[in-house]
Amino acid sequence: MATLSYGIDVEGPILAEVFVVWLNADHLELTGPCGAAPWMIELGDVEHPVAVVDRIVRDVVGPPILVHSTSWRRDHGAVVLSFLVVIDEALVGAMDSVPIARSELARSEATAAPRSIGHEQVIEHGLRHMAWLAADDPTVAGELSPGWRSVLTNYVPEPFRALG
Amino acid sequence: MTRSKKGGVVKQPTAIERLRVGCACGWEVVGSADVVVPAVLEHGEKVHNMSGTPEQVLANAERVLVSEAHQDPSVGG
Repeated sequence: MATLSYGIDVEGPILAEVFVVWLNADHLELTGPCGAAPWMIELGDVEHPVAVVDRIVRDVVGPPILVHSTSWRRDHGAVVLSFLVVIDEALVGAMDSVPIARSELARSEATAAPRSIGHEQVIEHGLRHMAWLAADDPTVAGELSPGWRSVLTNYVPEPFRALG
Repeated sequence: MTRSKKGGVVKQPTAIERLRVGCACGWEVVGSADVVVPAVLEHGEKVHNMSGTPEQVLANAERVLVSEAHQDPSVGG
């Protein structure tokens, strides 16, 4: 649920959790219009989730380099689709930004979701997914700069998966 | 109104009721209904793809007292 505290509570069955990331010299940073934090966007049942995220990122931040859904989980009373959005350094402007630290993954049990998932773990998995795409998907590889691809070699490649 | 030591009239600060709405993302607006309602609806739609109505905003906004000197609307995140 995306919540406007003491304002509007808008319930939605599907939410996008957007992580806006950029390459700062030799490391990746998290930024966004809601600060260096997950950016929640409500998804309707008409427009494609990728189209919604792309449209809103373009409108609020600027044209993204890549928009890619990297995992999903159940949280906030909704199904949450996590997106990694890669932007150019020039779009960061005055938005808060922090270096992305490495994190242990939230591992599922044999037949159950992880008991808790932090957003750092979602980013870690997202970047591992991006590392996999950079090696497997010519489109992604073509959009990422050599610097990006170099940083991603530090991440263990992983495909899309459910986190919870 | 109160009298100063020199006999002049001193205007007491007046508290004015304003509306405040904050977003989980840190964004916040304080001001009159004319300012707050469109700002909240625009923020919700533009940044979070959420829709709402003026009635929802007014029903859920927090009422706060601000001094007359600080009654200008403010929006920030």
